[in-house]
Amino acid sequence: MATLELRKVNKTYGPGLPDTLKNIELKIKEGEFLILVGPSGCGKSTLMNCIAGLENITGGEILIDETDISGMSPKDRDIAMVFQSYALYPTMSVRENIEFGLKIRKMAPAAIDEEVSRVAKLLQIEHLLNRKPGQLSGGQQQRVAMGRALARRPKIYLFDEPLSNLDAKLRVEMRTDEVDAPASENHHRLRDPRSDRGHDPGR
Amino acid sequence: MTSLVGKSSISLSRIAIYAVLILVCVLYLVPLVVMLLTSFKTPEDIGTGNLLSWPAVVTAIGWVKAWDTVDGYFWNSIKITVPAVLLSTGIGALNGYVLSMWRFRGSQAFFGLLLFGCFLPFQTVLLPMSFTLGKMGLASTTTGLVFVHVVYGLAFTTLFFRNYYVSVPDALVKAARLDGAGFFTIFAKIILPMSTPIVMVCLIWQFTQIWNDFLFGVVFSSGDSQPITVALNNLVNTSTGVKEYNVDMAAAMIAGLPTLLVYVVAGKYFVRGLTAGAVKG
Repeated sequence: MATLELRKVNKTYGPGLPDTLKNIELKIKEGEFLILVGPSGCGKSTLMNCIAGLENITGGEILIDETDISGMSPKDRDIAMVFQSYALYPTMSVRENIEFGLKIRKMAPAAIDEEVSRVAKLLQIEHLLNRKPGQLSGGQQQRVAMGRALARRPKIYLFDEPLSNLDAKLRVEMRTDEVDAPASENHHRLRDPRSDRGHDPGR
Repeated sequence: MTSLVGKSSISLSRIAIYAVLILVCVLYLVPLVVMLLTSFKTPEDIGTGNLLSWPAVVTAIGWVKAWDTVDGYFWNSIKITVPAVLLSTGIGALNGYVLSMWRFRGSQAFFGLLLFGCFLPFQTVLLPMSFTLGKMGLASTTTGLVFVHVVYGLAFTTLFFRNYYVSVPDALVKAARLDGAGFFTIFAKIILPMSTPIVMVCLIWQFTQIWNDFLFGVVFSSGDSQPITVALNNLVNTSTGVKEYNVDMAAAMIAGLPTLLVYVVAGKYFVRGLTAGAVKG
């Protein structure tokens, strides 16, 4: 649960180049859900990368819970992101993929086990835990990627076109799940602010 | 169905193709056969003149003598090759990881310059390198040769790993950074486990290059620190006494066996790794 605020955020990729982001002002309250829509190349991904800390901003402030985080490294921002390509670690099993972030944050082994089974149950991937990402279908991979984000219980979720690799029918299913699944377990999950963006204006 | 195909395939052209292939194989194998046969002959037997005849008495005396002569140099080669291969592969992997996933200002230019190292002939670095080794106090030591081979090999190993890692999606590194992993954790836990094919290519390439190297060995070492290639040359080119071809041949076989072994063990990865990037496109 957190608030996210952007104040006059600017981003250029070098002196003399046009502004990619120009004076972005944004305020997302606790539990809100924001969707970014726009033509390709308008800076949606750049904005998300800046919020996550994968790219540095060249001006302005990004605040989470009233604290300026724009100078922090990605790992200190407590943000989880689901990528368009899912970016599952190919040599690790599903379980190891979900555990990875928790292990790095030095969580106790018992707590990790508990968290993995909670997430696996939530997303119905319990039977897949020992498989490698290459042995999963697109929809299954997508759920694992979401599981990886959910397991960390971050302050903010970012979804970068997470549905664009799925076919239309599965997309509708996952769209419902994305909102419902975290909520059905513990109510406050739904109230996390999310930045989300999709190609499909129908969502 | 299969039997039908089988029958129809035994045609005249098929026989001709196999005949040519077998002929080429035989031609290719003759030097090896001559070497093996000669190495097991006695010097008197060799003197009678037929290269391809079976040894009158099969004897391992040539191999024993050869091993006695090159024994120490064989271990020198091991002492040079193993650390040099491991170091150049390890540093090359790290270089490739940085140059493809942690690009910095000027990293493309840096990579371009590094590539020049691949085209540098051995001869051009001899003089500056011997100067450097002298200053470092490593002249005429196996450690010095390790250093030379690591430096010279880095251009190649960096190129291999960089080109392999370019096809790995950036999102993997981004996801790992958000998971809280640092530079070396990402490398060790995510990138390196994906690199088996290219590691194999690198190991074979570097092992073959360094084990078979003669020029650096002959220039930068002396006496007890010489690698086996130099020792083999000394053995074969001695002008004193009667030429012992059986010993020469056995010594040459001993010098060549390790590279052969590496190819047999890791060879299937070599072809797979070299073509991996090309297929993905």
